[in-house]
Amino acid sequence: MKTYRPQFVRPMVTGEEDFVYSFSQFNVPALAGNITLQPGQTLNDVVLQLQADAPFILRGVLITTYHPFGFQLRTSEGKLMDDVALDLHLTYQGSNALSPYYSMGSTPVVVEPELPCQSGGLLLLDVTNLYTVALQVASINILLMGVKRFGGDYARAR
Amino acid sequence: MQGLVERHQDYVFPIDQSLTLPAAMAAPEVFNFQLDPDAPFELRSLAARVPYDANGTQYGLQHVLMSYSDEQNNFTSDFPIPLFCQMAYFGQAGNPIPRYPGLRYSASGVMRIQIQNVGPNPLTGLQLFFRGVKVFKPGEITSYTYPQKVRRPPLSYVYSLARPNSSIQGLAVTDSRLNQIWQSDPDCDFVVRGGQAGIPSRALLVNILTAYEVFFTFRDESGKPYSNAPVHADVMFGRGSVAFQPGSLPVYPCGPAPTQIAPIGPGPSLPGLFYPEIYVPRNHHLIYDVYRNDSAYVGAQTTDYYPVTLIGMKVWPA
Repeated sequence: MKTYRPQFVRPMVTGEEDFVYSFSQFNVPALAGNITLQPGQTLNDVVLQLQADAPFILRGVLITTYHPFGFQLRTSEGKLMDDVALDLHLTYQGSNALSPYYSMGSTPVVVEPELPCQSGGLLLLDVTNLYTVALQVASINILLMGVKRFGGDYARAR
Repeated sequence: MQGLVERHQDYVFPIDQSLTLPAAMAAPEVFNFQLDPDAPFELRSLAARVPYDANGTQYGLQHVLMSYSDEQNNFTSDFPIPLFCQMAYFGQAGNPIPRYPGLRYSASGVMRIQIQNVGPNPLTGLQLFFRGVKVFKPGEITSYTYPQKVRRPPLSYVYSLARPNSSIQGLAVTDSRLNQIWQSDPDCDFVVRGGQAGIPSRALLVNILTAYEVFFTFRDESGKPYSNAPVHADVMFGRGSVAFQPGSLPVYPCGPAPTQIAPIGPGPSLPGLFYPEIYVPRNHHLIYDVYRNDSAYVGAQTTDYYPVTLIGMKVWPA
């Protein structure tokens, strides 16, 4: 007789699992603490490397920093997701006015429609200094929220 | 409303900032507001605002009571209700308070509005924003929508409204830019679903709200507007806070003292949505007018950088 049942019944057919990629100075060399951008300068093609075990379906983006950087994302197929490097407070800032420096934990910016990224693929990020003085990029944190979509034998095994 | 065409519409009452309400009104003043004759209107959400004062706040708005009626003169409440009880943050930050089910008015219908200022000071410049849809018969207006087939998957995308400079440049203290053209990339259609606007971060912000009274009118390519009057950027779009400038969001007065409260919720993660979305085919135009009138503010300056984004989706027709 089954004596234990989990509180949440996982759908058996989707093969999807929530997953969040976190990128910052600690795992992206291009965002290291000693890198400084002059006013108006752009750091192109910062690689946000995805893992190779499953395709990633991007459904939300959340970027935090306490400097006025502009951001422009590019998909793994090379398509831009933003017109230009736009101010964070108009594009990828989470919703939390009480702590404007860090909106971690707040609502991400929804990516609609979702963006499928191949396993082992990457997203590219351009960072522009929109301020009037030089800034270090080390304050930047990027969260990519979505699901890993497992398939085939791997999905059934799980 | 199956089989009919819904088109985004903002009704602004009054159309300018000339309304002055005396202090401590003993009874509400009643206004008749006639809607456009071209189509019926379904009211789905509301917002309200007054011009920012010298401190960048909307002092006095917390003292305003309001109610409105359908065209049979049935009011939505037995007595005017404080605006702050009807709508969080007065429906601003791009998030007008929803009304469901919608309230329907015939073409040229008349809405009655009761307004009462119970505060200790006169109040000038109150505007109410009634957002909803105009309803047309199929074929009555040009209405674009998705193609039967698309060439590749649609893509979430953020456009800058003012291209190619990524912002509206050199907006003078008193300025109006009429019939500005926006166009998507020539290879794709674009679906406008929301937007954000305001606060330059490129310049050092001595004054947090560097442009107070900025209004927009959007039009389709034939010049037919989506509102009866210019709509303030805070109602049309909203914005997040500037990260390096705490308190850079607009704050809203609450209580008689009042306490100024920062909104929680709006910003680029939860922008106000244009409903129905506005579909702009490739090589077609979206026209917009921009107005700024900050002549009442001491020290107001020309903004070198007023960013506006259109949030939506790219579609590549097959």
